[in-house]
Amino acid sequence: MYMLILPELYMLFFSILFLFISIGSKRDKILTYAKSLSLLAFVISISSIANSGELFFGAYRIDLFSQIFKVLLSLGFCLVIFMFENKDEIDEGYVAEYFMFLGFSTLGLMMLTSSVELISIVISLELSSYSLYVIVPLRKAQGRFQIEASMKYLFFGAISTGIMLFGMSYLYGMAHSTFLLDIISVFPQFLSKPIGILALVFTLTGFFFKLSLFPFHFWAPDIYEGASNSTTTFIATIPKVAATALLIRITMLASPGSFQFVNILMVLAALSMTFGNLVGLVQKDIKRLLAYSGIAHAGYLMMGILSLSREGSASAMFYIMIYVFMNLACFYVLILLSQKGENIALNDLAGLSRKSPLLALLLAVAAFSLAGIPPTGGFTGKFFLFISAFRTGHLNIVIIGAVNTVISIFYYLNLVRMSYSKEAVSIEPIKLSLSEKFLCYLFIFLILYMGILPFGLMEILKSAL
Amino acid sequence: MNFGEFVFIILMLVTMIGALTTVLSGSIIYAMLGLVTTMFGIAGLYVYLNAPFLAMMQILIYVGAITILIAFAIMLVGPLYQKPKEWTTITKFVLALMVSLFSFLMLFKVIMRTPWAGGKAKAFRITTTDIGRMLFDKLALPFELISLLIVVSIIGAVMLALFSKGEK
Repeated sequence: MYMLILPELYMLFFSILFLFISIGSKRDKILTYAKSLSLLAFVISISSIANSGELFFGAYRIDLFSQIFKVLLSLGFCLVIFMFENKDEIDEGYVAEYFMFLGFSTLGLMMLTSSVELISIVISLELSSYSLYVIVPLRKAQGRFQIEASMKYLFFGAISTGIMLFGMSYLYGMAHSTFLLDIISVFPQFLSKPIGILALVFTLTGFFFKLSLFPFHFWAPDIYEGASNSTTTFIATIPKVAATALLIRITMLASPGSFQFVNILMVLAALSMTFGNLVGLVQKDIKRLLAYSGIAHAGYLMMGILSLSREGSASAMFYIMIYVFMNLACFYVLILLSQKGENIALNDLAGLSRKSPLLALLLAVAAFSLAGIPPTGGFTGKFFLFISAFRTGHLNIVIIGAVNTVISIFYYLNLVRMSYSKEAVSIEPIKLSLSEKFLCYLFIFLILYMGILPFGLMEILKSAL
Repeated sequence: MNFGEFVFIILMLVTMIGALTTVLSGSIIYAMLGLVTTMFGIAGLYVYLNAPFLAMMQILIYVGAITILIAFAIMLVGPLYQKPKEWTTITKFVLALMVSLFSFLMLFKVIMRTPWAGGKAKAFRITTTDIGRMLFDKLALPFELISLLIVVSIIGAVMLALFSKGEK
């Protein structure tokens, strides 16, 4: 039984270890500890990928679906910690706590992917959100942006959780049980009634918020701008992975498919893509730009989920994987570029190809992937999503998605244009250490690999559903 | 109108008046008292719906604990009992009214258009004993997870308090 939840137990151990380190006075080698221990977390979740079973009276299900997400979560967690820079803007005295909260947040998200019971889902989601609310203001003083960002995150998060609980109360009222297995057996008879759709959409709100889908996106630009670079890296990638897992799991309740439900999801997806891309066109701060690009990508991702098919869910899983890698790559460039942990504006990219060719290449590959240009993973992921939406007969959303891809190419390629063709005032080369170079090459490899050889991975993802 | 309906209407009125006082009063003390009234009204509704455990929890947690915390916060922060000058503007008020009326009407329509089982369905009742038992078998996982959640929020609160002190 303990072997089944080894990744979760290890994350708990990780967080508690850093709690004790934060109490003690010895703080010189924290980063080394964190790096090696987070690598171990990734190894442990890889080793437990084949586990399956049920725990806690059926409230906690461990299957290939959840284990794949746990591997992705721990990989993302590990990469975020490896990308963490000492010059970064977290106060020296709070680094141990910072890692502890990152660990707790990842633990919450891991438990979220395995929970198949409504109350466990809410509490795991809150566990991960609370940890993030606390680390957003941890930034060396740059005005009071970070405090404002943290308050906004807290309020919007609380409201979306409230709406989600309201929806869940209807689900409970229908099934008289909080277990998804019981709900799925009675839910089809409510799917044709207005209340069933209302309950389902409200329940999904909490995950729409994490994914920053259109009507729940208000927090994203301000939090991305206000939080420190490494915190933003975490918030922009890891919670979205677990949100996708839960969106797939909960939309499975509506698996026969209801016309109105699919229509609501389609409208949200279309608005999200269009809004994100159009506002993204005029952004100057790269973190804000990536926030709006995240809103647009949430729309693309919904195309896979609204197909309500096995293929659609598998392509959504594929897309969130490549989304994590390309976003981490973009943020890595920002982290390495910023000298004192400040935000990077579009103009600061000028002359990047002269300062550091490797970083410019990494940014170009990531931007191409975000825009969806072959042979990168972003193209393949979008291709799978479009195909799955097309096969289930949602031609209109495919057209809107294609138009939006074209719009978004402009601002993604603007990043590349800035770094390659614009001359800087002063060119002082950026020196990268061996491990930093390795991470850059790893990101380039992952993005290209998922673009060129995606089919083996797709087979595994399909078998997980 | 029988006795049950009479009680229900009284409870609704108490809840509504409390909620309106909370939102419309400019003074934060009155708003807090309005909140207390609303919470009592909701607890009454729970009793009316035959959920005494929930009603007791509502009174203990919301009326007992949370409003005391709010009162402490008001006393510690300073003269918030005066009505601030820019409490609200007409535009804000109208917009807020529109949003709340829209969401109310939408929910009202959805609920009215759903065919409920009505009196035919057998009553679904969970007693305090059932809740206690469920927390220790079927719902053991969320019960244990809550303790972790509380640990995280306490550590976070302590850390933020120290952090904001260090900044000054």
